[in-house]
Amino acid sequence: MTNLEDVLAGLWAQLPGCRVAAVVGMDGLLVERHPSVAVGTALGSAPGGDELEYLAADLTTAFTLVGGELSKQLGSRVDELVALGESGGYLARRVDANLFLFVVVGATADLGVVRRSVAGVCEQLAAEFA
Amino acid sequence: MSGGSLVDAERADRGGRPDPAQPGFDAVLDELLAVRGATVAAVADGGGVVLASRAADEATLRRTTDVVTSALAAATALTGLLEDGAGGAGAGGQATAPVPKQVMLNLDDGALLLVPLTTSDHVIVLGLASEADIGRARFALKSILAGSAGRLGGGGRV
Repeated sequence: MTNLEDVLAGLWAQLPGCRVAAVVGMDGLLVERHPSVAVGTALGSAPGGDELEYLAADLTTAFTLVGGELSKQLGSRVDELVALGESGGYLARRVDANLFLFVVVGATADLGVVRRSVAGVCEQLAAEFA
Repeated sequence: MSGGSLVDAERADRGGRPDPAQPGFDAVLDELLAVRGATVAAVADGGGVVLASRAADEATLRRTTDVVTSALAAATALTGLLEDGAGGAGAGGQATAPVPKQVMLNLDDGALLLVPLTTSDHVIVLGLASEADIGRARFALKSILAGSAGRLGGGGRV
């Protein structure tokens, strides 16, 4: 069985400025995260347990919304969401019909690297879950 | 580690039904209890009688088994209400009891996940240390059940 925690730890380690990496079910339930709540709190950078759960639920809603008319207009399903602010950003990408992966990064992160890395991990996970 | 063996399971299942699940109980329960956050793994029959189980400690197992019967009965009743009493009429026009696909209970001291198997009346019961473990447990359960469908007489609907 795929060890999601190891996969997320690898992604987190290869992305400078990554605050947290997580896999979420399309029903909004957080499946796995790295760093864990305890470690993230100690590091002082990762969102806490409750905050991440709210974030996961919001992103699920966003994926559901863009899966409707926006996807229809595009002619293909929206698979990736990026939200940027002055202090950092979020990137969420579908793994398959049931899961998506998202990362929260700080302002120092290189978005190109983040996108490539996340896409690579999503492809890897999708192949393993297929 | 505690809980029933296959022999216990055979004793507990007094309904005389064919039971394709039993040969696979032990291995699957061990796998389920190995999921991070899991405190109890059990298989119950449709009536909530625990047939086999594993638990980190005896007290947690007892608390869980006490809840399972009531939780399943309540979930089945609630499912019936949500379906407005339709419940799926059988071939002879008789209404059959609807079966919940999955039941999650958030309790003060953790969470409980109940997943009926698809081709038998058995229910997988997974006790969790925290509600934050539910997503991980569901994901792991899905993989474990998919890999054990033959042994358990059908996968779950997680």
